[in-house]
Amino acid sequence: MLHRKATRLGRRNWFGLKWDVWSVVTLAAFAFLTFFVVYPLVSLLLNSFYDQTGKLTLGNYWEFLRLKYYYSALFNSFKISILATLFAVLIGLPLAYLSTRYQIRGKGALNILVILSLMSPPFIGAYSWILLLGNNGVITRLLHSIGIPFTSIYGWQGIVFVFALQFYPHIYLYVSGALRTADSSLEEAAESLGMPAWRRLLTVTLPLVLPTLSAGTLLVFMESFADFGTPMLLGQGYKVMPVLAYEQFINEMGGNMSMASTVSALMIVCSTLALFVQRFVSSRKNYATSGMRIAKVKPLSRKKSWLFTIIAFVPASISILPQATVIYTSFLERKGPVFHRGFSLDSYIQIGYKVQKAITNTFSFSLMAMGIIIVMGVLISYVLVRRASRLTAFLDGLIMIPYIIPGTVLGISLIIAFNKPPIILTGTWIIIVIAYVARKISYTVRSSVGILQQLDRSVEEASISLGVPPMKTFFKTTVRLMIPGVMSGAIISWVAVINELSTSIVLYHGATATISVSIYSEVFSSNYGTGAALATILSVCTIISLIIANCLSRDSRTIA
Amino acid sequence: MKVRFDQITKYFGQAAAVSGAEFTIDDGEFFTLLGPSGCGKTTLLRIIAGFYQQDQGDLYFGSKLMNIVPTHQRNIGMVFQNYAIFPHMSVFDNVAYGLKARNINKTQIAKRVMEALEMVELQHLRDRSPSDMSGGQQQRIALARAVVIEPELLLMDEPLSNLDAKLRIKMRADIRALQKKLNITTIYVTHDQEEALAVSDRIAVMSRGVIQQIGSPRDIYLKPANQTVASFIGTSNLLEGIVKEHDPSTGLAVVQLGNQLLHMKLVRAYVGKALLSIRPERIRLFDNMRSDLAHKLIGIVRQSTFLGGKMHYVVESEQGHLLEVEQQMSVLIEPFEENQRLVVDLQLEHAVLFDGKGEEVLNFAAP
Ligand SMILES: Nc1ncnc2c1ncn2[C@@H]1O[C@H](COP(=O)(O)OP(=O)(O)O)[C@@H](O)[C@H]1O
Ligand SMILES: [Mg+2]
Repeated sequence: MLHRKATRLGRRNWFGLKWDVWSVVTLAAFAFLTFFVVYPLVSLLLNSFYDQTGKLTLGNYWEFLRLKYYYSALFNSFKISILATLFAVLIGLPLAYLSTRYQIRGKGALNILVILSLMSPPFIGAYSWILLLGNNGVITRLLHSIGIPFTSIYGWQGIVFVFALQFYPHIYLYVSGALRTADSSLEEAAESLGMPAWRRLLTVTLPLVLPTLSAGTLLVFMESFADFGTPMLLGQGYKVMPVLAYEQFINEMGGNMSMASTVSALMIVCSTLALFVQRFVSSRKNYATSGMRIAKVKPLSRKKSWLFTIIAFVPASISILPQATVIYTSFLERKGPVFHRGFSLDSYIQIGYKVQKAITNTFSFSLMAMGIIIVMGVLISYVLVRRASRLTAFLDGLIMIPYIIPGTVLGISLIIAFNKPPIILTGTWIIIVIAYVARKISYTVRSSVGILQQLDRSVEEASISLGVPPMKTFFKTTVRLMIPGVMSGAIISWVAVINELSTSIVLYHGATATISVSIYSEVFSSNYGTGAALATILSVCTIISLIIANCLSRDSRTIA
Repeated sequence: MKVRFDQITKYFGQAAAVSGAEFTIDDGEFFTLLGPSGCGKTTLLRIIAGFYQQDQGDLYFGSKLMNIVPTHQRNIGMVFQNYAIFPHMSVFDNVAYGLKARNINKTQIAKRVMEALEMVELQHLRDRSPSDMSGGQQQRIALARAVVIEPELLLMDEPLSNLDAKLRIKMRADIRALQKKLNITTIYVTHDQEEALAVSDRIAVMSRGVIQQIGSPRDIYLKPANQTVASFIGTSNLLEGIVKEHDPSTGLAVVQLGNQLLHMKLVRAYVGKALLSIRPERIRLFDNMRSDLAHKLIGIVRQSTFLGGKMHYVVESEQGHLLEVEQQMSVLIEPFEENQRLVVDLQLEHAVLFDGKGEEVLNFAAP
């Protein structure tokens, strides 16, 4: 037989990458993240190792550990985050069990209440609790008038209270999802082996939802640890890390950017540590359950059903109270800063000429950010799923970085990186939009990746085989099929962006103030009416967005 | 259109998923790639489609070198295992998709789509959404979508494997009929040998990336080129023997099987270890001692299974061989009981003799 040397083929490979549109997308994504996330964070880190005169030193860290003013903030942060997480679990976990395993009334309403209270920005919660439980709050006065010695909500207890009520929905939503899909035959097996109910709960049910619970717990911890608005409003001298970083940053004129960087660097270390602890805990306790049998919902006697319903609605109603208060307050009649009895639109008329700019800012910045997030999110997720390689796995990791960086820290790092030539972006709207994109893109990428993984690849191949070129196929089939799911994920990002405070407060500059920044400054200068009106606008937008997201996700489920 | 493979090899990492594929598919032929899962059938099909790029070798459609022609310019129709229906389009739009890509005018599209839908008997569902249709209906849409563009080549990757057994048999007949009617060169991938035997003009049997044999269904079944093919197509009893002596002038050889000596004609001179392959349905069983048989063994029924139209036995011979035997049920013969002693007729004229490694045929069976 004749052996010929066959032609050697194969396109030129570069890091396992084929040269096409997708390699350009990959490189562009790398460029964006390197320039706007990695470079600022490295600058920040370097900054923390220099003193005011520009000498390399460990002095900042030494100073942090030496002075109580600094290190107590770290201690405080851990204290309130751990306590808030604990209480969030204590509320969220039983509530999830109650609502998934028992026949209680009004489950739909319960879910809506819980999601709504999650979606309002935490500092609005803090602010309305000031209206209710502050020195001159409605409930405070009520308590005083009947002789109960309640001082006020200010201080660390108040912060923990607001965080717990704000964040328990995370636990509730995560765990009830897991409980609903957990294989109930395991519980039945335990029952058939003679385990009493409460021990079944501890030995079978709880271990099964533990990985989910730990993911929810991490989220609550991270958000409590990173939140700036609530401790700023309620702390009154009780300092936590984000507040400390912000103060050091604001004192820039007095000059302590190095200390702001040091505090920020320590915050990154802490949240990374928290992430690893959670991964460690859940990786060793991850049971693959096939979810063969969905748990049944226990019917209850009439009396018990009402009792359980009331118990379930107590935390949900309390956590929705701030939203209600804000809306109510925004319609109160007032003279100057003093409220009167009647209702009016005074507050809204006032924001019309006072902070109109803030409203247009919020919406134009957020819309721009969302446009970029959706386009980048869809393209990047395609690269991550359909062009998976070591390089794209690395890209995936980079995208997740901003997820664990507290907003204040990201803001400060961007300022450090872009407040000097060659590129000065500080004070512009561009830097705010970039920060929004960097912070929130991971949600959209994650949800898009999820959708793409479920989309059968051969649908694209069918289109190509029918003569439609790959790029056109991408837009005609892939994008078309992804959009409903991507949009419902993107709306969650949108809600987070319009309510964003901790990065905006660092990056805004007079003309670029957003609604949340304005609420913050209005409340700080005791203009509760305008603050409430602005907060109401945000809340209404949030609610409308969530309704749209809900409809969209129902749509996408029918397609898939 | 002819399709020619010239020494095509494809690696995934270090392992070759397809190595040295060298054959030609004729115009209008129904050609099947058959082999166990993981043997490289899909890889080869996707090289033809252009979804994979071979690492070595050349692919020709007719006389045209296809190596760097992208998929969307190859004018192929492809039917996927999981249907790959566009879920966001109606049945009509699914089938019209490829025609729209070819910028054909609206009335033409409507006419051709309806013709294609009639061919698969789905014209009444044209405006429905395909997502809630049955697997069989979805696969019909996929088939109509692939043939409506009048491709030069129809590729199908295990198109029936997600359907239930009855529907599979009907669909494969329909596919074959449609292929004949349109006279379209078709490359069909399956791991189901019965399916391959039923529909193909020619079959290529693959194993571990290498094409073992190409031939008509009858050839593949009756004249397997090696032991791999023999054991993959149908079931085969493989018995070890020794070629004792070979007479070059007559071609006759003496083969020892256990304590028996058999005489056979070989295709070439060979002495040494050999493998004898016998189909289960070729072996005959008798309950009384018959002396008129040339090559008989004594055996004991170890297992007896009723399969409806036929009986399946496992018989252990005195030499210790375990033989699988199939017998058609008949009113005249009582099925054998387990542990019954009986006479086994190997019908060696239907057996195939391989060399000791099972790589080469030494003697072909009589049909
Ligand atoms: N994309 C891929 N990457 C790496 N290995 C692959 C890929 N596709 C197939 N393989 C490997 O190549 C071999 C042949 O696969 P395939 O062609 O899918 O087999 P078949 O279709 O015959 O079941 C298998 O060992 C499989 O694991
Ligand atoms: Mg395959």
